[in-house]
Amino acid sequence: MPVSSACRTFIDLATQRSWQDAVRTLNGLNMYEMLRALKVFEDADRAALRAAMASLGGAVNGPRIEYALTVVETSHLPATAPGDLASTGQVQDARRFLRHPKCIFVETTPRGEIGLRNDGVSSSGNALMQRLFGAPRDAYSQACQAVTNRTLAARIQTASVGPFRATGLDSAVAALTAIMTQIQTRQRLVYRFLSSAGMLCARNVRGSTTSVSNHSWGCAIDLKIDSVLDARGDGVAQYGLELIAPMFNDAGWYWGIDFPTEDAQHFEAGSALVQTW
Amino acid sequence: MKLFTIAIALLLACLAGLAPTISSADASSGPVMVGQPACRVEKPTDWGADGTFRWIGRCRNGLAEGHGVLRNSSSGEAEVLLFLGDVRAGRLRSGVLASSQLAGFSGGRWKDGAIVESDDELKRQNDWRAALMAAADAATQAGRTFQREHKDASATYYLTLAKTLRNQFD
Repeated sequence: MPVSSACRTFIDLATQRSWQDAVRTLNGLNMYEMLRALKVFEDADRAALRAAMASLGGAVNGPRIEYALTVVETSHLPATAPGDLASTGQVQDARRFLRHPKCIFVETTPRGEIGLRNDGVSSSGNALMQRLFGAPRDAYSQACQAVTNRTLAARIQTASVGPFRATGLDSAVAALTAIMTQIQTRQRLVYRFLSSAGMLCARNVRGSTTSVSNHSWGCAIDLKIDSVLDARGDGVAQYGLELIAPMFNDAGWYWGIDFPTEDAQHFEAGSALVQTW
Repeated sequence: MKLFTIAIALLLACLAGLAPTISSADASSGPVMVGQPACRVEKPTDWGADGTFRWIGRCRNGLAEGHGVLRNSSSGEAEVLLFLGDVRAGRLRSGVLASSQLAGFSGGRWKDGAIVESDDELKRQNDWRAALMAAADAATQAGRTFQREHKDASATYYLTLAKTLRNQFD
């Protein structure tokens, strides 16, 4: 379900810790989005939100927001619901949330509604990677296998890049670490929901015996948000990926959302960048 | 995405009346087994105990066995939760979780009702790949079952889902 503009504003304000404005915006969200938006917070954020609510007094519907906070914090429905929450279906919304309590960042946006993407950045194709780094292996299968090219293998490293560990080309791991630092600064709420679905994986492209996956050189990564991997080829991208993609593009990495088959989970070092490695 | 949503809506409408006798989750310790009394299957720990659980697949000695789909639905709720994959003696082994309301998947190798991720990068990815293939096979099998039963909306939903799962890797 596309994330509303009000919810996007709330996430932006909360990311910037503009708590009073965030609370005023939060009050306007429907219960579906309110619960999933509150799910992105850690304890300190919820405390700051509550302090802002208290400072605003009756200017916002505090009991409604407090109800949602309690649902998120306890993973249970409170025994009683304030005001008209039951009669307006908002308690039912909370019950639905508890069946599948994922955060707002896994909701999706159609590709066509996402603004500037991959501006000035292009994908690094097989031919370029082969020319720069050589073939990672002599033979491939459909399974992930190790790099056997000795020169390339000597440059493969495993390290923490911030929210998770990754194995890839040394330069790519370093670049990814820098990107994650940027995400931690500019999109701190998304940062804590990031995990890797894989970086280095020497294999053939699915169904091919000649074309090699871009993961074979350890210069690409697939990312999960809240443990959920974006569905490939459905023309939509997780909101969390949408928020962090500019940081990848700024660093010269290409976002797979613009592949002929949309692949929003996928980020790879762009052609100009890999030529500096 | 619109087609996907429409397919889900059709599926929900179609399936509303076909769930067989089902049971709620057991409250005992150890694996929480759910599903039809004659075909129990382990409940993913991420799921709540509410609603009804139905296994679409083979059963042996009162337990789910092989590739199949575990559905969790709840009265009045549009969202249907799915586990698709491989089950041995009722225990989840490899597969993915999906939701009728959310694009995307989580999954891999399973133990004690939860996803187990290896620290080894290659193994973790191969586990994930195997899980997607098991899920795709399970969805295909469910789709064909519904085709034989002339439940076209359900068949279309699962066969479309199988294709999406197979397309997760480039």
